[in-house]
Amino acid sequence: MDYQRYRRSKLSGCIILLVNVVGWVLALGQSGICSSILAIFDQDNQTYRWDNSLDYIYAPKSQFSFALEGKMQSTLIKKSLISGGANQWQEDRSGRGKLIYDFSPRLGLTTEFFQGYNALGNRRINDSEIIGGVSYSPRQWVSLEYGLGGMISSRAEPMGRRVDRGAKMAWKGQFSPRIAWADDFRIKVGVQQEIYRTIPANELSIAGEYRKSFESGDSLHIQYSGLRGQRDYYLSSYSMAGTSTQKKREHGLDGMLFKHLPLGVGILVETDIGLKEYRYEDNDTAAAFINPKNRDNSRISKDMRLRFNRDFTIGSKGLEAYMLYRYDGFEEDFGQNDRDENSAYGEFGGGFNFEFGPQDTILIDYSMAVRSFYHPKEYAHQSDRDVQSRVLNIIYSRGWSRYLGSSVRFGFRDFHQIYTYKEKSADNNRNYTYLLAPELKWFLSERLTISQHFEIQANYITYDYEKQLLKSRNRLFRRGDSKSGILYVFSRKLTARLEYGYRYEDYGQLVFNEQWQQLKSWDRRGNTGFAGFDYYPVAQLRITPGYSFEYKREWDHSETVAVVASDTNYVKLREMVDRQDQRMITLELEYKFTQSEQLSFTAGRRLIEGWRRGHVRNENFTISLRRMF
Amino acid sequence: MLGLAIAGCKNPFTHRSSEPPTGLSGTWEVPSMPRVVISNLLFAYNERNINNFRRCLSDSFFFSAYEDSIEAEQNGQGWIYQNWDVDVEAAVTRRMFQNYPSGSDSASMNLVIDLSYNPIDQENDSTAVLVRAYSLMIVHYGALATDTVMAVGEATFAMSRSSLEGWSIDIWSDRADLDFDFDWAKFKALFR
Repeated sequence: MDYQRYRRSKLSGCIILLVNVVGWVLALGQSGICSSILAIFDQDNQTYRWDNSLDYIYAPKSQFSFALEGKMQSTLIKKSLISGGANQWQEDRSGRGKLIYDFSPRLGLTTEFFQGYNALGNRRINDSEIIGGVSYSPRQWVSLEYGLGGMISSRAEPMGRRVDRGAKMAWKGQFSPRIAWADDFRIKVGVQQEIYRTIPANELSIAGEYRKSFESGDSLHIQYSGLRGQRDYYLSSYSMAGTSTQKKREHGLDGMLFKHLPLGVGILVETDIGLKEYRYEDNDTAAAFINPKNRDNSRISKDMRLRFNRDFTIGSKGLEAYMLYRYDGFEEDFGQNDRDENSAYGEFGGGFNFEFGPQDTILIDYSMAVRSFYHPKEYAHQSDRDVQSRVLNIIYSRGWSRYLGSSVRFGFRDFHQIYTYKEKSADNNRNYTYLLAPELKWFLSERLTISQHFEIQANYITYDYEKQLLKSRNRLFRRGDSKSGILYVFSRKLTARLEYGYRYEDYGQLVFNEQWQQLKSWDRRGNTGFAGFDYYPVAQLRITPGYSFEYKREWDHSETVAVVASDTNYVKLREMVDRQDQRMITLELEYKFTQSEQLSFTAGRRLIEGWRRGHVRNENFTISLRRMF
Repeated sequence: MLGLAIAGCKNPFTHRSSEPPTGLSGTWEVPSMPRVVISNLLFAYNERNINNFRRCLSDSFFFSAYEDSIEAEQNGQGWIYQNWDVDVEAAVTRRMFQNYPSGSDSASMNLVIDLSYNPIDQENDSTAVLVRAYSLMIVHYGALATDTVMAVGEATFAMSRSSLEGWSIDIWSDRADLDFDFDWAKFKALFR
């Protein structure tokens, strides 16, 4: 018996290896159609990965073609540095081949085989499949396919081995009659059955699509897909427990309409409506931690989006404006009322992009939205909640001259979360975020570009039911960033980049004492830098070495009381609690044999010295080869 | 008349009013550093505060548990870990919180995350990867016996910083501890 298993495992490995080797030899030698090969090796401190894949299609004659598809992936996941354990190899390999012979444009024969192998630790899955098929097109608008074959699935698990043998049958039909009032109209019907003794499965699917574009520029697209199926599965791989059955029903209807209205207005309407229902039958509940029946669920969802566009001309300047409205929601049915939740979402927004001067552009976007969650049963109301948000973005750009450009971004976000019932409403709070980010780009010459970016941000978090003024939960977070960059083009072959950044952050209590004030809890400062080159010794080869650093410091703020004679003084303390220096060197090489053939190599080393993190050294390395043809 | 009609309309973009609180508030800090996001997540879990939990995740969030996915595939239920985005994560966590409410007499759930630095952490200007060991204790109190299950493992949080919202989690991947059969991902998957 063991000898048979050994033979079967070896045979499986040989088939996969053969498909991959033959495919690679053919792919490197013969030009195929829509084919590609890929080989990657990479490693870092935690993993090694080898990854090969190929897709190869070859058609030596108009009646005959064959396709090969192979994948070999091996990953070594080293033992965890946190929880220990052992190194684990993970193997995913597969080989698929397909032969197609067409007797005539109407009648064809196919033979397809598949061999798959997955392994992780002491789990191994071997899947073998061979299917013969026939395709028949009695009319140009009808195509029918039938396939019949055998399958073997072998699962080696911690508690033993399971082997399932069975048959697979599939019907497919596609009808695409030419209809005068449609550019594209098609209906697809499919039936698939996996006839296993222990874990059988079947599925019936129907899909339809209608597409029409009108001369006026209007268009309409409607798509429906639905399926109904049943599948048995094993309850656990840690015991030889029995099976459960999943019955599923899925329907989806998507629609899209674009129409030009009077006064130059364009309207885009998009809708998605879906039903997903899953029911479970517990053939054996002995091994289940939670009864599989508890997974019963169904969800009806709907999503509708409406968008109006209009282009205006003010003077000789163009303004593109839009307005949108969105409504979506879902209703759940778990068969147990306390787990059901329903939701509704409404969003309204708009904006415009206006080039109001030869060098000036302003872009404004605004949206406001409320999402509500509510529970159909009163005793589950505690989690009823609303989330209200308002977002505003303004970007003003100005090109001062062909040498100097600038932009300013202002962002605002108001995020309000509200639990409606008393059990959780203590958590209701608002989070206001303000952002201001000016940027400057100076093209000093064709060779030299200087850029400068500033960003300041403040987050105010205030609790709706906060009563305390001095020991409140309200918080303020502030951040300031500066990034400077220099790009210098020495020649067509060599470009250099230098970057420097500085960041300041602080965080603390937000108290109201005649005015809003921050009691700082901590502050952090960081310096970052980068220096690198892009060097092309020949047109096909790019070499990119780089060095970067990041130095971070963190301080805690506290207060102590000093009593001198009868005077009480509050002394503020600022203590450094962490410092971390990180340095990294990287090297990238890329060689393009042709536009579709490429070899690349990247390597990096990161060194970290920190009070909290200690000394850390990370290294990574990747090499990859791609060919597409 | 038109003015009266408009004035009488309810503003659809206003929130509902709330009752004055009787309970305690949650614990949440501005996510000014990656490690603050982890402590916010820890408090949100133990205080069963779904709003604060959701604020730890970015809109492009997804969850992965590769080893558990392989096991799920092995059992023929690979769909459990597929397409696990921010909506799925929020819905799963909410159901979990509802099943294990604070102060319940019948069940409890307590999360412990080691918040200290570890050598694998990578923090850059606007991206970071933090790896943290965790243990989640789930207890069902029965009339005759108490059933305790421990979910133990290592969570990797890949984060990014946005200018208006601060740091949030983009990718959360879970890795089981080899000495334990049960991890956080498996527990979460029970509520999907």
